[in-house]
Amino acid sequence: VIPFKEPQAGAIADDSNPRRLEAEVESEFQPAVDLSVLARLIADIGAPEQSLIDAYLVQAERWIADLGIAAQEGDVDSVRRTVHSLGPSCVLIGAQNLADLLTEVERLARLGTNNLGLAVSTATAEYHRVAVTLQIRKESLAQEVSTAMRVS
Amino acid sequence: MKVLAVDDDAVMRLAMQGIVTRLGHTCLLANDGREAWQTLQAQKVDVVITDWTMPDMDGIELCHQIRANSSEVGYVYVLMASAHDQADEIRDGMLAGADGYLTKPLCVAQLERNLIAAERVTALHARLGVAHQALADVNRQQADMIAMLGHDARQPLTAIIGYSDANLDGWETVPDPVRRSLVVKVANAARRLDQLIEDVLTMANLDSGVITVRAQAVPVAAAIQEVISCDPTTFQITITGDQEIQVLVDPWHLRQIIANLLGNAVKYGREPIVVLIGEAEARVRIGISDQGEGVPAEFVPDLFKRFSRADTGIATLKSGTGFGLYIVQQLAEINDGKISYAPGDKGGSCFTLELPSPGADLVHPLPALADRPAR
Repeated sequence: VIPFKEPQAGAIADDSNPRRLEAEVESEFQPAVDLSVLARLIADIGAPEQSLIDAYLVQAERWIADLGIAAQEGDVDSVRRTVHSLGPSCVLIGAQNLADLLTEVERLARLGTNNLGLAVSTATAEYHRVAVTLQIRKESLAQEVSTAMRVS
Repeated sequence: MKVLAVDDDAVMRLAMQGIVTRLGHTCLLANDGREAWQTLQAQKVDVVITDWTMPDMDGIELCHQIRANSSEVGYVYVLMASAHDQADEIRDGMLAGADGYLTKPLCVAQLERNLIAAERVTALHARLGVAHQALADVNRQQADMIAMLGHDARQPLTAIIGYSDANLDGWETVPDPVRRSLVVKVANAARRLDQLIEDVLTMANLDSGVITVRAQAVPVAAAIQEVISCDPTTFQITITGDQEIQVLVDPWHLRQIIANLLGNAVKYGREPIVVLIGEAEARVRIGISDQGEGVPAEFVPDLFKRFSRADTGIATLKSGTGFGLYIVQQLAEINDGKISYAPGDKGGSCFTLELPSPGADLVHPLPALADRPAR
């Protein structure tokens, strides 16, 4: 797992809120993806876990890249739109910490602050943690399948 | 139900598809509003679950599109599913045309509850559509009937006015035998008008369910003779079979049934018209046949339906209200009888009226026409 890159202390202190700080601090101790949430979703929708993870990773990769570009260009509308699109599926698969960071990005975009870039970097770093967790989950699923086939 | 899930988020689409399918519905998918609109134009969809923020066409625009084109896509129950969760945003979504609002992240129970409501509302809309169509049909039929009624009433009225005027104009000079023939023509036209009004009132009574049956034993041949004498025709009508047979029926209803059946035979058929009276197993059968074209085969299933008129053959050349045979069937049924149609052996039509036979102690004289009960 790629270690979570901690943002510089006090970098976005002016626009901080208790929820964001909580999300940042907790991210060090919390798994990037709550796999029990993911398991519940899989049970609810009855779709193969692997295809759900693939669908998430493909679109999140693109949206995170779009988010970085929009933040660099100072296009706050695009930032808000992208965050809005990405947030709900993060909650759905159990990446609550990333969802909270994206909510914070949206809030800063709405305010139009200078700290937007840093907030986007923090969210991007968290996304990488999510992506690696999901990749590991996929490998573990594949291993379970091959073990099951060997046993049978 | 057929549910269309519209979202640019692939995970959300997968999730909605899974939940909707698990709840027993069919789920279609679209990536954005434009794709959804194409699907809606191509097939009937009951429910749309749409995201708000999407590229190309967003959920709000899709809502407007659906509501503005309801005649094209029919009624569609729209659920907005969005991360826009502020009160004014939800209100805007509803104002755009959504019937319900789901806030993201998606909650399975919330979606299930909304689909239950959607199913109820779409079923009501479907029933409303059927009722609306039926009402439109009845309105059209009634408008046709009123037009036809005006036309049918004007014919005898014109005769009454014309013969009366001729009588009055020549009052001093017209010889008595001619005057008598003019008065007879006036009387015959008045009877045709009376028969028409009788049919209309009977239908109104049948519709309101206030019609009563005062059954008694009625001599069939005598009743038929009376109908013929009330509305003389140049057609040859022959009554055969057992002339003494009696039938248990409301005499006024029997007169109306016979008058309608003979009237149809004269109007649409050709001579000779034969009325055959028979009795078997406590049922009296009265067959009325003619030698005309008969009823077009494709129209036979609709023959006894209210306001139905054949749109081929001789019926297109004659005016008519289209409720004569409907009244015949209804009156036969409330008198514990039935009416049926079959093509004649040598062409033409053959209607068979079946009514119960009376017991021996039920025989009464045929009531006079003047004693007809008031409505």
